[in-house]
Amino acid sequence: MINERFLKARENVQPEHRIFVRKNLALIEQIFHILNEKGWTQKRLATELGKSESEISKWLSGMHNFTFQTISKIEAVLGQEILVTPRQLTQKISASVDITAKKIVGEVLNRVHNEPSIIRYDASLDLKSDGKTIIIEREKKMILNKHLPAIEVTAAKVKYVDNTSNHDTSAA
Amino acid sequence: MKTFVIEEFYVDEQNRCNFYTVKFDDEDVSETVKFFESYDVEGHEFRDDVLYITVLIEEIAAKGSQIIYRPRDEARALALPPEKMIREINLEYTGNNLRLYYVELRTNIWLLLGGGIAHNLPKGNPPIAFHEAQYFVKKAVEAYNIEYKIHDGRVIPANGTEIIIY
Repeated sequence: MINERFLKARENVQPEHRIFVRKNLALIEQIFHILNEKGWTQKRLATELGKSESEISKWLSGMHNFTFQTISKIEAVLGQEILVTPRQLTQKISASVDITAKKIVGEVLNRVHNEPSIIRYDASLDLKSDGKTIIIEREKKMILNKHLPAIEVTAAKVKYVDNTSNHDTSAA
Repeated sequence: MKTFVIEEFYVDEQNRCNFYTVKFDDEDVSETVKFFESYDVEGHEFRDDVLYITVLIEEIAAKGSQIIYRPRDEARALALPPEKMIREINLEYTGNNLRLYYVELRTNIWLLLGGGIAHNLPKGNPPIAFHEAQYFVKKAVEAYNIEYKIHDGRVIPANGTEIIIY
């Protein structure tokens, strides 16, 4: 059962109210994700920020109105971005995809150059990104050789770190 | 003697967290409805705050309480308020200028107690004073142990629906 007065309040909610709450919750989720990765407690975060634990607890309760100044301080102590714009995200993904594409082109050229019997070489990737890393869920290669049957090679879950100056590849 | 009943506020099979509220037997509406009636009013200075809380309730219902209450070992130690709470349960608040008090009976069952302007603001006047709220919580816990069963994310009254508070 949904209370009628609550239903009425829901009708009065404007898009900006939903955006505010959802962005806030997403920001908190990102902070907790990084805390878990780093093995930090809220207490450690409070200490690093020079704030009390209760203050940080309130920040992470879901309704704190974060300022850019606060976000910047949190990013500074965590050493990671917690707020990324769609354009920044596109640039990061593009950079990572570009690296991957160059790697594939290089590999294809190399194979064709060294093995003249190859008449066709296809490569395809299924990509997924959470904004921080690019996961190649499936990497498929089809190699047609004049003298040999077609070779199909499939790799799954290959991870590329998005940092263009320090990209890393590893097969899962 | 005053009694109150527990009413469904936002209970749905699709919810990952269900919300109940309390209504005193001599009142026409529940404490939570009073809260919405007071602040979800065209032109009210805190209308945005009550609508943010509305969305937050929707989000918690849809995604579960862990979106604001992380299952970390340290979480309970940091729950507000820290000292005068009874041990078995947490009473926290949400919102900016407003506070909607609640009791988390289970991670998927919340009991909304009503609310008002944050008690630390100049105009702060939550309808349920803090100490009263704690007494209220204590009685709710007793009722939860004695007269209500919790099954499949729902509160089911076993011995009637009334709880004596004072």
